[in-house]
Amino acid sequence: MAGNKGRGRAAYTFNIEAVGFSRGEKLPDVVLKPPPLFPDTDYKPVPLKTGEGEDYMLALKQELRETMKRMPYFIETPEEKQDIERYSKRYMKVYKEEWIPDWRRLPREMMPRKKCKKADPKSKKAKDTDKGTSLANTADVLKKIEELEKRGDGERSDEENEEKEGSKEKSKEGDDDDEDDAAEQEEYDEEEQEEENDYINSYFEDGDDFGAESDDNMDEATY
Amino acid sequence: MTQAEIKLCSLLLQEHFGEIVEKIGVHLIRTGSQPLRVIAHDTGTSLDQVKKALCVLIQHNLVIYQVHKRGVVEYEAQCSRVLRMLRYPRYIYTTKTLYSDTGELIVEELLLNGKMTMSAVVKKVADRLTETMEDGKTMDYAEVSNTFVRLADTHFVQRCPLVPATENSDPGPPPPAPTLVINEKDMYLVPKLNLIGKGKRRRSSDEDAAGEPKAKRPKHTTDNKEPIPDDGIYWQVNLDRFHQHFRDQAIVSAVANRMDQTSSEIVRTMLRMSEITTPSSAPFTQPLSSNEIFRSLPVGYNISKQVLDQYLTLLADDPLEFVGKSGDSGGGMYVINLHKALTSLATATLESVVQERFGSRCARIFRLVLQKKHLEQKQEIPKTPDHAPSRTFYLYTVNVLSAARMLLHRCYKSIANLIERRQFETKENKRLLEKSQRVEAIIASMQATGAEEAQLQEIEEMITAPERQQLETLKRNVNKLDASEIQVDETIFLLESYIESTMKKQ
Repeated sequence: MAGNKGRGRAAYTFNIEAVGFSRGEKLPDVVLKPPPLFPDTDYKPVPLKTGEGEDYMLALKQELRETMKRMPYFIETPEEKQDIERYSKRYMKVYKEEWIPDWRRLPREMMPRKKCKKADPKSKKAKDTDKGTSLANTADVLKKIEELEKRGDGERSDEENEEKEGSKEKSKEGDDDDEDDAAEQEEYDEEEQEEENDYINSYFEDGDDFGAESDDNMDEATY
Repeated sequence: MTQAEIKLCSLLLQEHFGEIVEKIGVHLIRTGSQPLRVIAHDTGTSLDQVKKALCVLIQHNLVIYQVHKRGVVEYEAQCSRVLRMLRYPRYIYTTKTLYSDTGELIVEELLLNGKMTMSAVVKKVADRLTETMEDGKTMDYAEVSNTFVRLADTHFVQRCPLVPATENSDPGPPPPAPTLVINEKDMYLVPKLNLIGKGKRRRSSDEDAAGEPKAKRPKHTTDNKEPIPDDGIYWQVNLDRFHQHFRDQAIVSAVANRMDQTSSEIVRTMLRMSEITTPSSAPFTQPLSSNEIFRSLPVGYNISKQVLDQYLTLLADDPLEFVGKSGDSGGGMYVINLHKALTSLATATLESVVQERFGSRCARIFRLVLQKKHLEQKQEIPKTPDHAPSRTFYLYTVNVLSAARMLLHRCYKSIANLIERRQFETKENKRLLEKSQRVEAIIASMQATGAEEAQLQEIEEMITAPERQQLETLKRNVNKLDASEIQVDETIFLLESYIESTMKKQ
């Protein structure tokens, strides 16, 4: 039934010329590399629409972009710790209005735990700026000791007791989310402890002695 | 969700809400519905951060939650809603054309904040409008309220689902999450508020020149003390209503292009009459009688009944089939074929793309194949019914739905590329941009304190001529990229509307 157009000769069922080459011709060269990333197009794109509406929407778009960055919904990534705390940074902080969601509309697990009643951005700021200061807040300390006794978490209480001895105002983060952010919390504690070490800050301030010592120890010749 | 859509969502979330929200949002889009702790674990983010991100996303209607068995709450992202952020300028501008500045600001505030109570919106908008008014003039709350009511009446804004009122005698522990409900008839019900007041200007001492350190402003203490009359009743923008408006606009302008102004006005009238009666996803509007249409024509359009009938007949006979005749009572019953109209618009988009990308010849072939449905290369008709390879002819056809989907996918990719390029350009010139901002700030503060022209000149010269040139080029490029984003989104809208209408039909 399948008509043999001639024995041994292949018959194409469609017009072979359409594919780009005719029978018997050499096949086109094999392509050895990927096509160019930005090939030249034969036809250039149509210019954009212009008009009052388009201009207004453009301005709106750019304004919205800027406005959104300043809204409380834009959550900044916590910056990496800098080597030196720049003085100007403290005064260039943009004040963002706090936003407190309507907790009635959200699942109960969304609410931050009772201990950190104030929204976290505040306590984070406290962390940044109060690192160096030490405020003896005895009422706070007593409260924390009570809570610790209740929880009876041995390892944590050791760390926190050390901090209390240094009598720094611990930001509320210390108690918050203890079960949840255990990993993060421990890292933070370590950092705090590094700063609260036993070395007195004025140890190396004595210029004369320090210079003399280093001279003695230097093997290299001075130029 | 395709990779292109996910990528685009990621860029949009990052630009509008920051990296943390982006990480959580994209994760949910990829994985589907997940509970809180799994999200925190899988993304390696602290629980605290995840909570904050989810609160933001839920507030902006980008994530919803559901209580599953055993009290586990799962969160699900709405990818298509995220993509709607591209259209915010269009929503706001459309409101401006319909309800002027007051309406524009209402919709803008609702979009920026996700959802708000009516009293909060009115107060905020009144304050903003007062800022722009002349000294001594203020915007009255009543005027803003009126515009708000009009927006609700025409369904451009709607109520969010409510927390059900629980009775005090409810036994047992409270549920892990509230089940929000809304009644159809309550969706546009404006609460009876007695909002009296005027907008307030910011005090001049608070206005600092941009860039100078701002003193910490005290929180609003006075407002929090007063009880909010419409507490718990939140409003959001009804995006579907805007989409219906855009679709109507597209149909009317297509008719105007193809025929004339009068025909387009007739079609506009018919669409307006069907606004509330026909659901937006219906394939065609409810039948309207010629008499009804005549009565509803805009005042000032004085065409006679006969002329109207002639136009209607013309429209119904047009091969594009935007208008169809469904009966003869009442002087003739006519419908607008919404699905056919959307198909025509999508097809026209495809044709236009083929023409611009491949040239007129290709466009001609494309249009021919579309028209004839199936074409063979040499127009021969198959002779035998069997499938023998030597006597089978292969026909070309255009699958409009597939082509539309493919083009839509490309549009998503295009916008992602546009955004990335814009961010790259901005980053490249970051140093120069910051310098220019600082200079502007200095000039502004100097002008405020009264400086001489010569001093200002000196400061302006801090930016050299080639730098100025660079800034000009940057601005031009960024504007072009932004404008392109907006216009590609118009194509996305048409294609998505067509695809949605086709899927609903099947």
